[in-house]
This record gives sequence, structure tokens and C-alpha cells, in this order.
Amino acid sequence: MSACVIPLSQPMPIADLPPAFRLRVVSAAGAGFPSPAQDWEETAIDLVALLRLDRAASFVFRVSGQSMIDAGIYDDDVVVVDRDATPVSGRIVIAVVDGGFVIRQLVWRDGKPVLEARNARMRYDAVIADESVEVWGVVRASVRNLQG
Amino acid sequence: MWAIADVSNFYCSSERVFDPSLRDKPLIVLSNGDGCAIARSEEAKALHIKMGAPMFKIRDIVREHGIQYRSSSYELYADMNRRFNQVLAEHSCTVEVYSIDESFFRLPVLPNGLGDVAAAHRVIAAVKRATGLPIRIGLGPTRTLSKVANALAKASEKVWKGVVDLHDIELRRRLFAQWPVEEVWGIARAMTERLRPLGVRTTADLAALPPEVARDVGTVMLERLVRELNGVECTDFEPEPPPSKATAVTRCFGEPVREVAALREAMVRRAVRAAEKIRAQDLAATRLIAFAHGSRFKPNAPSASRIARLSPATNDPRVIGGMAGRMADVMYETGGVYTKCGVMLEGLEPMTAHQADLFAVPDPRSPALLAAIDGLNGRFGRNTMRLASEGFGQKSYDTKRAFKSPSWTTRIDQVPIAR
Repeated sequence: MSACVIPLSQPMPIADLPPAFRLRVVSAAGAGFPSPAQDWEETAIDLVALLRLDRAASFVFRVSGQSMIDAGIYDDDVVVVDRDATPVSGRIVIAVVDGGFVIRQLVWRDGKPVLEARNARMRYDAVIADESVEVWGVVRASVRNLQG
Repeated sequence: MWAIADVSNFYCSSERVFDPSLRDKPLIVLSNGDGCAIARSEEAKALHIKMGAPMFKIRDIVREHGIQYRSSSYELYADMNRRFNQVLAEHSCTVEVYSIDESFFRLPVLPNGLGDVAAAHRVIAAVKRATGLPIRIGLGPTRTLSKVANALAKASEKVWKGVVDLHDIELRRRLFAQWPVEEVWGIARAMTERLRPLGVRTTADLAALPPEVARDVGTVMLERLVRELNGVECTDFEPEPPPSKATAVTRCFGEPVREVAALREAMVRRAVRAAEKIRAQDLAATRLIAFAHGSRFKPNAPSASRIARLSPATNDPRVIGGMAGRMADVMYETGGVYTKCGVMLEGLEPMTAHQADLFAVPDPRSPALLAAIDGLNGRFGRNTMRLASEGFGQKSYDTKRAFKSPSWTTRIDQVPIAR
């Protein structure tokens, strides 16, 4: 293809150019302005990493029922559980009671570890955390779907 | 030094982590298709349930003793295996996954030349704490010795409390005299027969064999094994042959298959799964074998297989699935009742190294398409994207896993519930 020069004495609208001169956007020109953000780029926030879900001892449970609503844990919430954390007084734990999992707060009453529900409007029996009760893990975080 | 950890009754133990109601009951886990017991809790072993016992033969004992049973939940076992190895990796810079429930790793040797039994106990405690899985550990100057140590720890759990250290030559002498040679890692039954005329019955006899004699009786492998039993590490020691260059996907049908369309669809499903398996390892196959047969307990059961060459080598499900489907069409006998079908992919070679076919023109878009399929299925779950010839949804011929526990650790809709 040979180069072709149209002498122009004054500016001329693109639409009036002959078809061979029509402009077409092929791709972004390599010589554009560099992104002013490129030196400050960081990776997007990664909740898997923040919740440390990739740890060997991290497990996910789902909460069913109202037993912990005063502690801000509601029915259908998802909780992240550390199996390897030490259950100290005040922590919310997953425990095995009567062959099933319960979510309760571990507190010391008269020198004895007790598992208590957190719901002032309903009655839940406190369970003494003796040898027959296994504390399966310690709840580290909860996640709630607000879309209902 | 070398250490090997194995999870006791791995499948049963994994089930018990998430289902506490199973903890004090005899428990067995069934094979794919729910046919046989492939894992047994200690309580089930005490009731004389044998490894591989067919369910129909033990039904009465199961009922009588309230033995609990579960289908195998490989989703769970794979995830628990990952967690187990992750804890080992926190204690050792080298972890070699040996099988789904065993891994080699390294621990430092004490200044007195013995294994660090206390460190091994710390690993046992850490695995139990993080995963809930009970493990046992064997220690030794070589991998062979650690494997023997692990087997000893397993055989007398009460005596050793989960850790046996075979760094001490005196202890080796004492224990090896009692340990049958067929229990040694890498000694197959045929080898036991060849060793018997030489008077080799115990591990001590084998360790005392002069290396040259060992090479004569067996191969250089047996010579290395004898050296390893004496604490001399052979870096190139591979007690088992490297993984054969083949993969297979064979499954029993949940319900017998009578129609050619169902047989074809089932065959395509297995072929596509096999192709996915080799893609994950960046391998391509050069041979496809497809087979289908009926129950071997029934007279005149159909049985057929076909072989096809794949050229160029491929891992494309469209090629492999298409071919397997056509092979099923050819194999099908009218009136036949099929209980099992499967495919094998052989002659596996690295995707990059395979020999090009003179006449085949590879489609340059295929790698991107397959990567997209694998990406989608990896992210959104198996069968998110599939070939139309695989059919859709659960089919009556799908392998039965009627007693599978939920996928507690891999599916958000199946995680354990706390009340």
C-alpha cells in the first residue's frame, strides 16, 4: 500500500474523509500514559487468607437455632472453628454433648468449666464440661448472609 | 533420620471426627459401590470383620452387633489427608506423601544417635489437636527401617504408645528376630517363597543376608533393602515400582445396565473422568482400553473389552470419551446384563514430550478449552461443564454410595451443624 497525502488547507471532519481513511480503533496504543497506580498496586482482599481457612486446624460449621443470639451468633450463621486453639474462659466453643455438636460459651463457675447458652429469653441447660464433654474446637469468626 | 506416620483406620477415624455418635461403636467403611468393607475400626476388627469382607456375607454380624457402616467419602478423606500432611510440614521441611494415610518426613537425630521419640510424640499430639486423627510414627536411620518401626508400632500399640524408634541396633536385633519377613515393606509373597530355602524367615534373617547373596536371590532392589535394614541409606531405593504409566477408572453400576444407550453414557463418563485425571498430571495417553462385563456369579454374563491406539497422544475428553462411547456400542450384546464397566488409559507420557502425529493437525484452541473446563469444574464442582454424551444428573447406573456421610469439609451446604 502506498502512502497517500491529502493536502489540507484547513481542518476537515473525519466523517467527510474518503472511506479508505476511516479510522478504526484496533487496540490500545502501547504508548499511552502508564497507570499512575502501578507502583501502588496490591492484591485484592482475600477473605480465605484473612479467615485463615487454609490452616490444617480450620473447620467450618453452621449454626442452627437461637442458643447464642445474645452473643451475636444467629441461626444459619457460618462459623470458623480452630481445632487447635486452647479453650479458655469466655471463648465460644463447639462441644460434643450427647453425641451431637453444640455451640456454647465456655465459662468458669465455682472453679468448674461450664458450657452456657447465650439467650436470655429461652432456657438452655448449662453443661458442666467434665471429661465426658469434648470441646471440639474454638470459634474464631462468624459469617452471616444478610440477603436473607 | 526418617520418620513415617500413618493414620490408624484412616477412613473410620475421619468419619468419627465429624460424627461423634460413631466414636464408641464398631464402624466399617464400604468400597465404591458399597460392596465390601475396606476400613474397619478396632471394634469392628475385634468382631472378626476381615479386610475386604463382602457386605452380603457379613450382613448378619453387622445387624447383630449394631456395626455402623458408611459409603466411602473420598471428598472427606482427601481433605483430611491434606490437613494431616500440612501438620507434618509444620514439623519437617521434607514431607513425602506415600499413600492416602501414610507420609514420610524427617526429624533430627539426638546427640546420642537415637531418634527423637519426644519430637515424634509432639507430632502425634499436634496432628490429633489440629485434625482429630490418631496417628502412629516409626523412626529409623533409613526409610525401610522407619517403615518397619511403624509396622511394629501398629502391631503393638499398647506397648509402644504409638512410636517405635529403630536407631538402636540392640533393639533392632531383638525385634527383628520376632518379625516375619513377609511383613517387611517391599517383600512380596513371591519373594518370601524364594527366601525360604535360604532359611530366611524373620527380618533378622533377612538383615543378616550378605548383600551379594541378596542380589543373587532377588535383584539389586533386595540388596538395597538388606542394606537399608542395616541402617545404610540407599538414596535411590524405591521399594515399590514407580507408578505404572497408566490410569484406570472402573466402577460397578448402582443398578445393572441393560440398554446400549446407558452403557455408552456410563462408559463416556468414566472415560471423561480418566481424561481429567491425566490432565491434572499434564499427561497424555497413547492407548485406550474399554471394558464392560456382567456379574461373574451369573452364567452367560457378557464380557468384552476393546483397545484403541490414540494418535497423537491425547488427554482431550472429546476424543477419549467419543472413542470410549463407540467402543461401548461395538461391545454391547443384545440382552446382556452389565454390572461394571471401565476404561484404562495407558502409555502415558508428558504432554509436552509426546510424539507428534504426522497427519494429525492439532486444534490450537483445544488447550484453552480444556483449561476452561477444568477451571470451571474445579471452582464450581465436578460436572459443572460436561460433554452432552455423558448425559445429565444422577443415573441409576451411577456407583452406589447410599450410606455416604456429608462432605463435611468440602461443601458449604454440608458442613457440620452446631445447635
